[in-house]
Amino acid sequence: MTIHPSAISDAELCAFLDGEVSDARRAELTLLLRRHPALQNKLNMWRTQNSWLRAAFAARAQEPVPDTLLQALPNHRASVRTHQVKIKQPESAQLQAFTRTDDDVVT
Amino acid sequence: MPDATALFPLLPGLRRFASALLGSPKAPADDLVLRAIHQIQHDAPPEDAAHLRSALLAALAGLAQCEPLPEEAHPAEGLEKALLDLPVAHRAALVLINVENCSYAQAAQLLGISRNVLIGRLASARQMIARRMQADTQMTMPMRRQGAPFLRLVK
Repeated sequence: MTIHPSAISDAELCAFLDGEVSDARRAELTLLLRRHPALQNKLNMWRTQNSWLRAAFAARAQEPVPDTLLQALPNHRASVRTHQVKIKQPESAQLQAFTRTDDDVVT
Repeated sequence: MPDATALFPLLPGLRRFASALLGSPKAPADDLVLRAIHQIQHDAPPEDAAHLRSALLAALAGLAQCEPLPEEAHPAEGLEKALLDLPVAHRAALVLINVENCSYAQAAQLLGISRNVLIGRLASARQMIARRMQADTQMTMPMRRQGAPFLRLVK
């Protein structure tokens, strides 16, 4: 294979990084990258950016959504109630069933 | 109209996208999320979760492109600063692909651009940040910032 590294555009390298090239092209690019450290370095730097970016904003998606936002949602009152009932019902139903069995054993 | 039940599971991701678009301050990001929700209510909002999410991400990107960064968005250094210094259209492309895990087709569609334009923005965003990474020693060692400074400025 005689592809010159300059034939690899930044755009194609991006598509490679993001898994958006065909399998055949992926195989070609993988070989090419092995032989061209400059391209490989660029790719590594982009990979590092990726993980930093993900890490930088991961916490925001894990923190609880603030009440101020929840309360401002359309129909929030009705749906919050439905949402809570959906989650809590199975637990309390189980608890009741358990308590009842316990009582039955005692009496 | 999407009600709160349909929106709940989407909120954490929407807040993350809004924060990345605006820099980290929470209040303006949450305000943007709310405005995006109100905006799609005027159109016919999609029923299923995946399309609803796309519509909201698109609305967020659109809103962020129409206004200046909030006052609070002034990270002094590092990756977040480099991200905020990108043109907003580039920032949206990069964050959709990198952080929100959109495919090229999805991201291009929701930004209303072609796949080629999307890739072009992505590539230049990555190169712009890479140049900053090389120039900024603190950025190449982000872990150092949490503890003692690695290099101290001696006057």
